[in-house]
Amino acid sequence: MPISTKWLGVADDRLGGYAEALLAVAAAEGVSDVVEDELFRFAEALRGSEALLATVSDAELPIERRQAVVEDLLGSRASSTTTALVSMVVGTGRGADLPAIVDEAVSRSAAGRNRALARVRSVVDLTDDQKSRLASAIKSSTGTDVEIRVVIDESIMGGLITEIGDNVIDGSVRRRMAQLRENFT
Amino acid sequence: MRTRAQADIDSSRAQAITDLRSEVSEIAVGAAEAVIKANLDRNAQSALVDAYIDEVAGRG
Repeated sequence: MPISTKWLGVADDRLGGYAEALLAVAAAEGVSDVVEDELFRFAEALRGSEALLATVSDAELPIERRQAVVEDLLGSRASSTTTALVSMVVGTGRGADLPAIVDEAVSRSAAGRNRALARVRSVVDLTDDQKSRLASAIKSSTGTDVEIRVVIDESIMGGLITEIGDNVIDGSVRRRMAQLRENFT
Repeated sequence: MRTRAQADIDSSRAQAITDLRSEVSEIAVGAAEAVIKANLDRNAQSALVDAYIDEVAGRG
């Protein structure tokens, strides 16, 4: 499996400020774990839907309307704290930055526990045992303690893709198919 | 003139072979993808996850 590197850039201070605000509110309400998980999932949903991201970012749309969209979407699926935080970010006109803000928040939270965020793409959810074994495998392979967050992504066809900071460990069926295609041509 | 005609024929033949190879490749890989998608049930997906974990662990 190859490990590739991609440049992500230096985190914007403003994004960091928003990230800290999300974490502080979640901690003050005593629901850090739940809120982080819900924010992460919502940010991934935004990344996976151009239409949704465009809607929450659309400067032509009144802010109240954008907020109503996320409140309708999250209302029954997330805690009131998560819904309020997402609505707040959208309300400040930072809807387009929400995925980056959440990434920063989740990464800072993990860093606070001396761990790095490992974003793991999979067709199926991992069991707790698989998450634990994967974290141990990454630790023994890279020396880094990680927190596993799974993103369900059917486009990878099978296997896993792990992203830790700039490093990507791609063991997906999609990559193997791409290699097969290259070998033919 | 004959030399140029021969060169044109050779070029066309090479292009045809390249096109055919590309087409065969797409058909073969497309068929492989279809077979894989049809056979990767939840257990097979979970086995792939386990294999990945073992491979990452083996790097250490």
